[in-house]
Amino acid sequence: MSGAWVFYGLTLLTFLGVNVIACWALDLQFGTAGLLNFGFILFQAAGAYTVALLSLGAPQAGGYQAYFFGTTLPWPLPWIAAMAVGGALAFVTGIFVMGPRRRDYQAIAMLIVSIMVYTVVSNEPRLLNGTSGLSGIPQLFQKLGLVSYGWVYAGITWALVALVYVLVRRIRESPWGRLLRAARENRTAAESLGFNVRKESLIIYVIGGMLAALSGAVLVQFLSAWAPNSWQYAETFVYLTAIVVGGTGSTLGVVLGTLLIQTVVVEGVTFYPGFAAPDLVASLQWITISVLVIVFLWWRPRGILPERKHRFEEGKPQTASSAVVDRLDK
Amino acid sequence: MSQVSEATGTICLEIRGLICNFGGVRAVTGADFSVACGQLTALVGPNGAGKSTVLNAIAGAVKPTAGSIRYRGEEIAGLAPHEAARRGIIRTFQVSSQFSRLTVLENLLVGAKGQRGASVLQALRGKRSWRDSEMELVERGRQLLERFGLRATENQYAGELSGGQRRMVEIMRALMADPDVLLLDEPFAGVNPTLARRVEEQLSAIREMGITTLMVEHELAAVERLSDSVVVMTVGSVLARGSMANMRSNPDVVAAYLGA
Amino acid sequence: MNTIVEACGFGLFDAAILALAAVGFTLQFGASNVFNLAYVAVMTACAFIAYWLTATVGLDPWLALIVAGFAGSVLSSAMYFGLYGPFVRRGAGPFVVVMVSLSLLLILTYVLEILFGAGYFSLNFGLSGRVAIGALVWSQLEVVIMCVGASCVLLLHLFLRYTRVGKMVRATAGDADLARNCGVDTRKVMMLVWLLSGFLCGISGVLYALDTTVFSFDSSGDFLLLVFAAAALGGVGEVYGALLGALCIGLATELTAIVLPGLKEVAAFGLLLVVLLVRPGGLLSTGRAVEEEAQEAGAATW
Repeated sequence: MSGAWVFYGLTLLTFLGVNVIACWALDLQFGTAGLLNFGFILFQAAGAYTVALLSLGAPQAGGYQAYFFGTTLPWPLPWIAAMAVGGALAFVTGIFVMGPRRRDYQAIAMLIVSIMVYTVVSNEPRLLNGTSGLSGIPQLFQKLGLVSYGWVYAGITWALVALVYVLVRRIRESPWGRLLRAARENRTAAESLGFNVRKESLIIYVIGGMLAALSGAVLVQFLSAWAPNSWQYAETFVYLTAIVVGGTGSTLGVVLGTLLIQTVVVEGVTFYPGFAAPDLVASLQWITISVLVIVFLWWRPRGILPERKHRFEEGKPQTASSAVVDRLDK
Repeated sequence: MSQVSEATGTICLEIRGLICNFGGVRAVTGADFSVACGQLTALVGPNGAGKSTVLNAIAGAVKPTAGSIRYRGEEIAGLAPHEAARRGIIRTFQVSSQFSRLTVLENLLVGAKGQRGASVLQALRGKRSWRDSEMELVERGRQLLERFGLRATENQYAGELSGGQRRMVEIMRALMADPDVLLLDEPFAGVNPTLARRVEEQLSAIREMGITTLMVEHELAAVERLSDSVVVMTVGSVLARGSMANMRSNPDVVAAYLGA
Repeated sequence: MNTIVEACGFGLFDAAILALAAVGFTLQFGASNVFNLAYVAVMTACAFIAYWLTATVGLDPWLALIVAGFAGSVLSSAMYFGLYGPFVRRGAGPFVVVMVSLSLLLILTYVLEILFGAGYFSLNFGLSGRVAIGALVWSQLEVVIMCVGASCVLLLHLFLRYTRVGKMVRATAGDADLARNCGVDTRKVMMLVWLLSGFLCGISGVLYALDTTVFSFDSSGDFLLLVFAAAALGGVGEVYGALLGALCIGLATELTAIVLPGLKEVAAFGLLLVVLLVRPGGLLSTGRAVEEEAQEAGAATW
């Protein structure tokens, strides 16, 4: 296999890793806690911009790109900072949005926030270089050849995927995860049993924001550039499609959905013979994704690999005492 | 762990001058009554009397406009629902409020008190730190299910159960939360006679456990059998208090029901 | 001072177009509880249809306007009866519906791109020249647009206020359950609501295209939030509220433009956010509705 194909494969692998982390983040918010966030892409963008600003160095007067602040920090500090920024952004938006209200209003409020920020960033070049975006972000390791760099980067990405997997599994399986799912099903009932839904939803929302920002950090350091057209509001929709198709609330389902959407839809359409014009390809991608979402919401709203029913093991025979039951049998 | 230590007869819940106005409706216009510890007190009255609103106010679902609700001497009016629940005040709902896509056993575990792994930091520590605590609670839940004849539904989604079964699951869920005060919102509403008997068994058992209970209910026959004392409300305030027998012979009470 | 008056003039003008769009949207949302994000895509689609009719087919512009309006009716009704309706009947909660609507928005937008390409188009009704009214100077085009907008609003007002059917429409949009309990045949009224709002949608899309110098398949994004903002300010299903909301948004954006020229939409976005989060019932409502809707919404599953 030629080096170019290997590199292409590694690129896809890296993108897949990034997307899996992002989708798990979105699924923690949506699949587990029931918080629909139409502005999700904003958190990924925040992470990406943070890494950019912390790697490009101070802005040069008269330089080819303008940004409001910059410095150079050694890796992995920019990535950690990105997570902090993502978390902070989630905290601030979450405080306002995650009250008791209709879920479609919540979703749309976040959509508006992401469009507002998009508009401000695009129209005000002094902030983050407007529509041109930031470029020239240095690679992680300077001395490697292209393919070797590809291998190393994919390795780092998937090491992170493994860590995030452990995190997501632990949250999902735990009693806390169960409480979040209960709050998703019936907020009022969960509150009536002592669960502070507002506070705990905010926590999971912040975790989701941090992971989304991490995905942005990993992505931007690979791409070396980041501009507004990478984070238009519709990008959130691609991630939503992946988790709806794969299975919301299911860790492996999300991976499957991401794989399907990224390879079959996004990449696959580019290979379709006869559709050489790039505009046409993009249009078909969007149409395919949108139709897929509708089809799945109708026929299999739980996704291909739905959230599994939680069964408990058979415990030891009744040695555990129970005050409640003892009193019943008095 | 709740204690049945309050001597029956002492006051657990005291409502004074409770007023609740919302949306232009004066639902409660000045309610005064007490709930004795360890007893089952029924709150009855014709439709629109404000009974459910009083229950909601105690549970924190509704913020009182004025008045006081004292629980063991602490003022709890205006607390949020989860704060009231944390103090041991657990309620059920008139319209079935199960967690549909959780299994029956999971439903019971949601309310369980003192679970390890119920916060983000504990969750992140991993399964080993909360596993034993959960298994204990699972056992407890299973015993409860066994006691009330629903063990077979353990792994069904709560949303798939019949209305009556859901009602019973909700009561068991409340029990798992080890309540100090149990607020029941029309447990017999819309329940067929066969099921009503089972619900009554459940409530009877709860009463024997000595859990302080306040029950809003229309089904007066059951109220008579289950309650230690009765509070009658009409048009937003308390009309009379006492035993069921007293209520029957009270002309004002009779008039209120007939006139409604 | 002069700039402020001028800005108000612009604001009024924007409001006239926005009013039609907002009223249509709020009728749909109020009557069927569907947050139809694809509404703005239908507006753009009708602008393209008017373009195709005038530029390619050579139809008289005013006829093209009417036909585009009817196209809006057809498209909107098809979306409701073909897609939203079935989902709602199945018990889909609001967030499934809004995801479907986002899908429709994208499908329509990109179908338009496939059909017409990514370029810019302009609608030409052959109007030029200027008209001066007091201190405000408008082009003939602007005056025509305002007249069309104003007369539509007037006709709508007469319909809703003085005809029996119109009153049923208004009642259903305000509170569909209540209307049904009062004996209104909400199924038939629903059909009428989507036909009527679709028509308004189409007309307003054409007017928007006439107003901006150029439009493209992507233009939906430009007025997406303005329409929602105006409708939300007025309260769900409140027709006169939507008119008021359009006025507020029109004035707010133009007045903001004096201070922050590139960011005039931000004012509208900010207002919309405030409404969604603090006063979802519209500026004139109390905050109560939030809790109740949340309880209901909480009980609905997927």
